[in-house]
Amino acid sequence: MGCEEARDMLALYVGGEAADNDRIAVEAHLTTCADCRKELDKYRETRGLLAELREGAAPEGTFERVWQRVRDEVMPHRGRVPVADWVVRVAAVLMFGAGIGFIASMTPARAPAAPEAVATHDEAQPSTARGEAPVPAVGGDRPYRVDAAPRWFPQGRPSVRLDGNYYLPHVEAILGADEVDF
Amino acid sequence: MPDPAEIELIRKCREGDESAFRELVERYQRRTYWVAHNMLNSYELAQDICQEAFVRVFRNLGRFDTKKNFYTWLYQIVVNLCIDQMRKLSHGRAVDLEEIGGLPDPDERKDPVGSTERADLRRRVQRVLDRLPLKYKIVLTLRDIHGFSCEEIAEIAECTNATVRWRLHRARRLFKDLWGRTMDRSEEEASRGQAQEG
Repeated sequence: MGCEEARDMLALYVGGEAADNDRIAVEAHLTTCADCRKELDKYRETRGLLAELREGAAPEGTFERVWQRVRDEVMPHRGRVPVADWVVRVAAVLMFGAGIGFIASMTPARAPAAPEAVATHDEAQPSTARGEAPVPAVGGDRPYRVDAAPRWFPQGRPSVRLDGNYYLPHVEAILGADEVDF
Repeated sequence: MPDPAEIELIRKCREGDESAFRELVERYQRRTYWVAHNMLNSYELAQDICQEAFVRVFRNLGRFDTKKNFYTWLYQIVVNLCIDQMRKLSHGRAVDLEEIGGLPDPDERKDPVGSTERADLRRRVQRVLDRLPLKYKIVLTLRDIHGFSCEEIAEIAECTNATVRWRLHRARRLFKDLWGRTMDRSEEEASRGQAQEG
C-alpha cells in the first residue's frame, strides 16, 4: 500500500470503520511511513476535538422547561383541575353538609337526661347538674374514666353501659314500650 | 436489540402513564438536546427541537414498532426536525441567518460556560463543524460526537451503511482540513499581532 492509498483509508481507520484487510494494510504502511503517522495524528486530534462537543453546560432550567412544555402539550389536563371541576367539587361538599343538617333538624329532640339514667353504675361519678361528664381528679385512684351518657344519646330510659365510653340503649328507649312486642 | 425494560416503559406510555413518559424523556432528553445543539448551534433552537421531538414521540408511540430500537427512532425524528429547521433558516428570509453555522453564533454572547479556555475551544470546533455541508455534519455529529455506530446512523439518516461510511470518510477529511486552515490562520494572526506590538 502506497501513501496515497493509505491516506485515503486513514479517515475511516481512525474511527475503526475500515474493513479488516484495509486496516491490516494501513497498519503495515504506518510502521514504515512517518508522514502518514503524522497525518493519522491529525485525524486523531480532530476526532478528539469533536468529542469535546458531546455535552456542555446547557442554560439553567433547560431540561425542566423541556419536560414542562412537553407535558403541557401532550397532557394538558393532567395535574391541573379546571375551574369548572372546582365548582362542582365545592358544590358537592356544600350539598353533603346541607343534607346532614337537614337530617339533624328532622330528628325529634329527646328529653333531658335523667340523672338516674346515666349514672347507675356503682363506680360512676354523679353527673353535673347540666348532664356533663365529670372530670376525674388528677392523680386519683380511679383506674379508668367514667363518663356520663352524652347529651345526644337517647335518654329517659335506663341505658346499659358496657364500659366507660360506650352505651347501648334499651330497646324501649328507641321504640317506646308499647311498640316492643317480642 | 430493544431493551425489555424500555419496551415496558413504552407500553405504559401508550396507556397514558405520565410518570413512565417522564422517565422516557429524562432518559433521552440530554442527548437529544445536545444532538440538536450540535446541528443548529443554538440553545433556544435545541430546546425547541428537543421539546417537539418528544411531543411527536408521544403522539406516534402507538405506531412505533417495538421490535426496533426506540432511540434510533427518536434520533431520526430529531435529525429530521433539525434538517427542517436548517432548511427553514437557510431559505426563509424572515429568519435571522445568524442562527445557523458559518456565521457568529448568537449563543456565544450568553454561553453558560463563560469564556474559559475549554469553552473557547468548543466554540471554535463548533464553528468549523458548522461550515460542513449538512449531510457531513449529520454523520460527524452522530458518530464522532455522540458515538452512534454506522448501522445506527444508517437507520437514523435513512440511508445505507455504505453511504454512511462514505460520508464519514469525506466529513473527516473536510473537518481536518478546515480545522488545519483555521489553526494556520490563528497562528498567522497571533504572529502578526506580536510583530505589531514589537
